Amino acid sequence: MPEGPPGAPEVTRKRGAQPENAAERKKTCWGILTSQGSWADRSPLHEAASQGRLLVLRTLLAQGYQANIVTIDHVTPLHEACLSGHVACVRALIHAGANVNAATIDGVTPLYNCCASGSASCAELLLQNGARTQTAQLHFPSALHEACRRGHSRCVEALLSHGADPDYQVPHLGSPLYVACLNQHTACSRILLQRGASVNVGRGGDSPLHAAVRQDRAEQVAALLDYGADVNLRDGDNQRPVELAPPGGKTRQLLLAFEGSPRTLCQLCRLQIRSLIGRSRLKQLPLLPLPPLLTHYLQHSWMTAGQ
Amino acid sequence: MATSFTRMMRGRNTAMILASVGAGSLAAGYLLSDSAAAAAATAAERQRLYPPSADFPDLRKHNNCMAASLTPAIYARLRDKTTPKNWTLDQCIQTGVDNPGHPFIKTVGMVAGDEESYEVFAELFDPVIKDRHNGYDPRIMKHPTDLDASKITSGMFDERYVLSSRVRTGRSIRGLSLPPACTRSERREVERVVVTALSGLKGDLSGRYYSLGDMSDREQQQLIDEHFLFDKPVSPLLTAAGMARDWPDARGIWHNNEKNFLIWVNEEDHTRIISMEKGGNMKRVFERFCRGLKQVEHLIQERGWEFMWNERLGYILTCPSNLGTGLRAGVHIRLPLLNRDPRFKKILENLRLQKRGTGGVDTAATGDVFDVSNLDRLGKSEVELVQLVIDGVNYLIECEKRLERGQDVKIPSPIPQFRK
Repeated sequence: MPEGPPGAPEVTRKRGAQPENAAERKKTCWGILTSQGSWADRSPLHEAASQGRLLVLRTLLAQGYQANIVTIDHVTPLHEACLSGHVACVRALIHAGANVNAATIDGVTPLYNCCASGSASCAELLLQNGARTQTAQLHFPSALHEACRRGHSRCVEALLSHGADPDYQVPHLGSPLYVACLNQHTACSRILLQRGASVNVGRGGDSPLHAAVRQDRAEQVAALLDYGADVNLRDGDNQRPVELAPPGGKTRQLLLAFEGSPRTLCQLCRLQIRSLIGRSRLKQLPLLPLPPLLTHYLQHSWMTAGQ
Repeated sequence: MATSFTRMMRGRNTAMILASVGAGSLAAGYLLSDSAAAAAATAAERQRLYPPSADFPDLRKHNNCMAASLTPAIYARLRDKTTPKNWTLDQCIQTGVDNPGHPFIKTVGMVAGDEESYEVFAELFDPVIKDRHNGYDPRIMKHPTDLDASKITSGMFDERYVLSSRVRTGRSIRGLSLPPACTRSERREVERVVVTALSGLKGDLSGRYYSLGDMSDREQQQLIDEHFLFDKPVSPLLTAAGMARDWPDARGIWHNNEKNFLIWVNEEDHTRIISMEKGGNMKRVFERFCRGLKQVEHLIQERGWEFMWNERLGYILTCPSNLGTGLRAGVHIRLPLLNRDPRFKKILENLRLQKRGTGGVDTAATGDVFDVSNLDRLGKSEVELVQLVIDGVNYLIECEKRLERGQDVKIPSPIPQFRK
């Protein structure tokens, strides 16, 4: 059935046989001259997915609407369901054959929309059904960066659990950790660091520590220092983090205190061990024949364990 | 053989019988018309039994301009008003009530049923227009109209980048209801008026009308292949506004013999007028557009009709988003390097341009060919908008060329939307 409206096949039946590729042709040009801007190319399936109307969605799919019907900007119903966080609709569309890696003309994927809306359940569902964590092209929007920008830590967790690279660089944004620090999302920073994100990789000469210090986020700065952030790195203006810290703020006190008493031998050992284990094997730390206290310490979760 | 009816008519009581029949007809007619009026009155009375607050729509989950502007107080003042053609506020806003909108994109959420809707319900339409058109205030501002194509400069694009150029607008015929409200007879009248006028076009603008209802298989396939055919609207935004009623009755497509001037009849508006051609000669496309529009208007006026227009809102169309010029000038353009640049979005924004897909399957694969057109409709004249597109597209092409040479590009300073 063509990806046009359901009325189209009716016309075809009434008017006799069309060339074999007529449906394909119609799909190709559907909406070319539609009055763009008024959403005249959005189908009822898009609307049902966007509003989370599961019964309507199922009825339309049963009536022959294609799950991958696109608007003029190549937005699919799955994009809409993910943006609104309707898990049941996402499940129904995937079951009907929706492409989980469909990209709009701007490279936005359903997974990116989940991260924009903060729907970790939808993200998990997409990832289980083959959604790619990395973008098809470098200039396309990155789901991990979007989750970090908006502070959706559960989405960050889901992406990393399914193999997303915590150091994936987008030229104009930098690393996911840098984005999380820039937008003051400590929970996201911690998850990335626990999963082995490079603590000193930011955007250009700007490190995540520089970004956190500029925002005067003491908690975030403490986490970065804990994971081995270099306090002597200089940014594009040749400034160290301590020089960027607002005078009299907690961050400045923290950095000055750190410079006064550098990392302990325990901390240095932990950093070295984690580095030797390697990022891909960090999640296997609990399997090592080590005392629980030491395992927790290596995982940076020793404070929680001690409580 | 004489029938009983003939015999009866010849009888002495004929006059009496005829008088009785006549009186009965008159009485029945009176009673029937009275009951129809009574029914209409009852509907109005029934609504008045309830206060406006009881009728106020639940808009808590809505993201559209109407929902943002409609207050219980405005609703209370406007609910019981009607236009001379009996169109109500509730009918205007129904599409926005039924379609809550999108988390990230704000739709308009209301339509006009006739020209008078914009006056009778101005208390709601005006803030919606102001919201949708970036601050244009219909109460204090006047919209300029200018269809002098000779004022256009630098209207020829580099065809290594621009694949096709087009300009479109809409026009409504004064005195007839707009598509959400029109009766079948009004819609057919629109078709008759427009098609009759179009038959008077001469020279390179002469062409032919294809009625959607009476089209042959071959004609239908040809129009599909040429990307001219429009189909029954399926978008809930349009169907909820009543625009797909009686499809395909009185809908059709007219195009000139050279297939570069096209008019859709009774789709979203009474008419949609499109001038287009392959390549980058936007000046020629706009020149044909202006010439065609003027000739069509002249031919319609000769027959005693005119387009809906006023100095506050410009040309009147169904959706408030298309008021003013109703004009969308755009190109299909290939910009592979600029499209990968993170500044592209901001460049477009500052140039008052928008990027859309082209609807072709090739777009999905490459992502390099897309449609770039003007963002504004109201507050700038047709000439200003087309010139803005020409200057903007030339700037984009220049950026692409700079990136090809490995040079940097600048984000231009924002263009003001309205004349100072």
